[in-house]
Amino acid sequence: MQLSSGPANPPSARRDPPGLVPGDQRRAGPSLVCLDGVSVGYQRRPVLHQMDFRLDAGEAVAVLGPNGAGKSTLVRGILGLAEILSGSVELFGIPRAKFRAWHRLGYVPQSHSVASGIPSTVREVVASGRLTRKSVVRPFSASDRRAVQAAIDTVGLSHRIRHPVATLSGGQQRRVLIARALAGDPDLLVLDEPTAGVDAESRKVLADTLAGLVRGGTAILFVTHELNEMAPVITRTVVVEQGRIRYDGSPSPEQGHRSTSLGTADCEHLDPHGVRPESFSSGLRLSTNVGSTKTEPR
Amino acid sequence: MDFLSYEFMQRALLAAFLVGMTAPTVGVYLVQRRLALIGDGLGHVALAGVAIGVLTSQAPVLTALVLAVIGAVAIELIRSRGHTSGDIALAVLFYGGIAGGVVIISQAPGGTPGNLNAFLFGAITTTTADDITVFAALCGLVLMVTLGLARYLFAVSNDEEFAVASGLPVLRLNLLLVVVTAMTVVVSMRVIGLLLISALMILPIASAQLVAASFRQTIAIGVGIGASVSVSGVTLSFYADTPSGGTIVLLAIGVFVLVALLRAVRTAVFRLRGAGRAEGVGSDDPVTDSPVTDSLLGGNVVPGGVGTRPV
Repeated sequence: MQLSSGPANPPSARRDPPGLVPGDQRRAGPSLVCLDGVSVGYQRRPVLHQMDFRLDAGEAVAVLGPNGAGKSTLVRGILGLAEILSGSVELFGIPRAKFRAWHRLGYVPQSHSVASGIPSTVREVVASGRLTRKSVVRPFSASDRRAVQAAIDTVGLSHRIRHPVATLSGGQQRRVLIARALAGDPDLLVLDEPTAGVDAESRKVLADTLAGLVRGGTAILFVTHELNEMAPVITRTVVVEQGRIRYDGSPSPEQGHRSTSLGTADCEHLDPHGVRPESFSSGLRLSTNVGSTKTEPR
Repeated sequence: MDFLSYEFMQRALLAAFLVGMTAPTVGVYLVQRRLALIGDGLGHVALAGVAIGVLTSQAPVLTALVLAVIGAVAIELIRSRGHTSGDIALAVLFYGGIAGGVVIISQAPGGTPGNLNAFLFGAITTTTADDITVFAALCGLVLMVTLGLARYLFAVSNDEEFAVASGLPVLRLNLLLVVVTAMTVVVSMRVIGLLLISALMILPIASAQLVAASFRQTIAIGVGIGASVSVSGVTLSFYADTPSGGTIVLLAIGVFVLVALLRAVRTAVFRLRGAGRAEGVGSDDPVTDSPVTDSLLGGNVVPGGVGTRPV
C-alpha cells in the first residue's frame, strides 16, 4: 500500500552480496531486519539466545512456536520493547540505536482490544499511527488525513470510521490496529498474534487484508500460534522453540528448501535447525527433531 | 446578580472558570492512563511546598509549584523505569507529602497545621488580582500542552507500547503530562483545595465519557462541565454560605450521578425497543448504527442488529 511518498531508503553501508540474482527485488537493498547473534530478554534474563535472523523486502514471514518459546520476544526485541542483551539489531541497514525512520515500520501489538476508558473513534485511533511521519510542531495536514482514510479503507472499516472503537467486534478492533500501523505507510508490518481470539470469518478478512498488503510490496513479519487462513499469505516460516530458531525456510517442506539465491550476507549464518513444520495447512504441528540431518539450509 | 458587584467574587468566578476549564483537559489523559489519583498525590506534595513557603516567607504558590513538579517528575521516572509500581510510588507521595507538610509548618513561627486549611480545602474568595495573573499564565501553558499536543498525548495514553515501538518521545511526553498535572494542582489549590483537586480533573471527564462518542467530544464536554460546575459552585457557595471547594465537587458529583442515571434509563429503553423488534422482523435500525447512540448504549452494537453485546 502506498499511502504517500515516503522518504528514500536510508543509505546502506552494506553492499549486495556476491551471487545476487539479477532482478531479485529482495536483494536490491539492505535487509529490513537483521539480527546477528542477538540475545533478547527481560531484566537481564535471556529469553532468546544467540539468534540470527534476517527479513528482506517482499517477504511475508510467519514466526511460529509453542507458548513461551520466545516468538513475541523476538518481535519485541526488534522493536525495542525488550532488552537486547548481546548481538546487533539493524533496521533497514541501520543499527537500531541510530534508527529514526520509524514510519517505515508498522507495529500491531498483541492486544485483544484497542478501546481504553475514554471513548475514541476509529479515525482517532488510526490517526495516532500517522504521528510517526510528523514532527511535534507540524499540524495534521490534508495529506495526513487522506493517509488515515486510506489506511481505514484498506482494512475495510470506512463505514465505521466515526464509531467508537469499543463498539466494534474483536476482529474489527484488530483491523483498527492494523490500520493504525498502516497509517504511517510502512515498508514492514510487524504483527504479534493478529488472529488470537478472532473468529474464522474475521481471520479470513484479516488474511485477505494482509495478502493485499503483500501484493502491494509491504513486507510482513507476524507471530502466530497457528496459520490457518494466513497460510496462503506467507512466503517463509520461522519456528522458534526454547528461545532458539529451530526451522527457517519454506512454509511447506513440499515446496522445497528456501532459495539459496539469497546468498550470504553479514547476518546470514543461521544454524541448522532441527524442527520442521510437517503441515501448516490446519494449524501448527511441529516435529521436534533436534540433531536430525533433515534441515532447511538458508 | 448582586454577587457580581463584589470584586472578590469577580476574581473568584474568573479563577473558578480558569481552573474548571483547564483541569479536565489534564484529567482526560490521566483517566486514560489509569492515573486518576496522581492529582491527589501531587496535591499532598504541594502541601509540603506550601509549608516550606510559609516557613521561609516565600510565596507558597511558587514553593508548592517547585515541589509538585519535582514530585511529578520523580513519580514518572520511578514508574517508567519499572523500579516500583505506580500505586506504591503514589502512596509514598501521599504520605511523604502530608507528613512533610505538617512537620515543616510546625517549625514556622506560630505555625500550626491549621494554617494549611486554606490550601487543603480552598479559599477562593481570597484570590488577588496578582493571583489571577499567575493563574491565567499557568492555565494558558497547561492548555497549550494538553490541547496543542493532544494527538501525541492521546497516542501515548491510549497505547504506550505502540507509541514506544513507533519511536514517539514517550518519556518526554509523559514527563510533560505530569508536569502540567502538577501545575494544575497548584493553580487549583486556592480554588478547590489540594484535597479535592483530583475531583475537578476527573469527575467532569467521568461524566463526559458516558455520553461522548469520541476523544475530542470527551474533552469538549468535560471542559464544559468543569467550567460550569466551578462557576455555579462558587455562585452557590456565595448564597448558601458554604465552602466553595466542597460545593464545586458536590455539584460535579451530582452531574455525574445525573448523567449516569440518564444513560442507564436510555440503555434500558433501547434494550426494550430492541427486544420488541427482535420478536418482530429483523431490524436494520439506523438509530443503533449511530456512533453517538452506540456510545450511549455502552455496549457493542451488533452490525445492523437489534441489541448490544458486551465488549
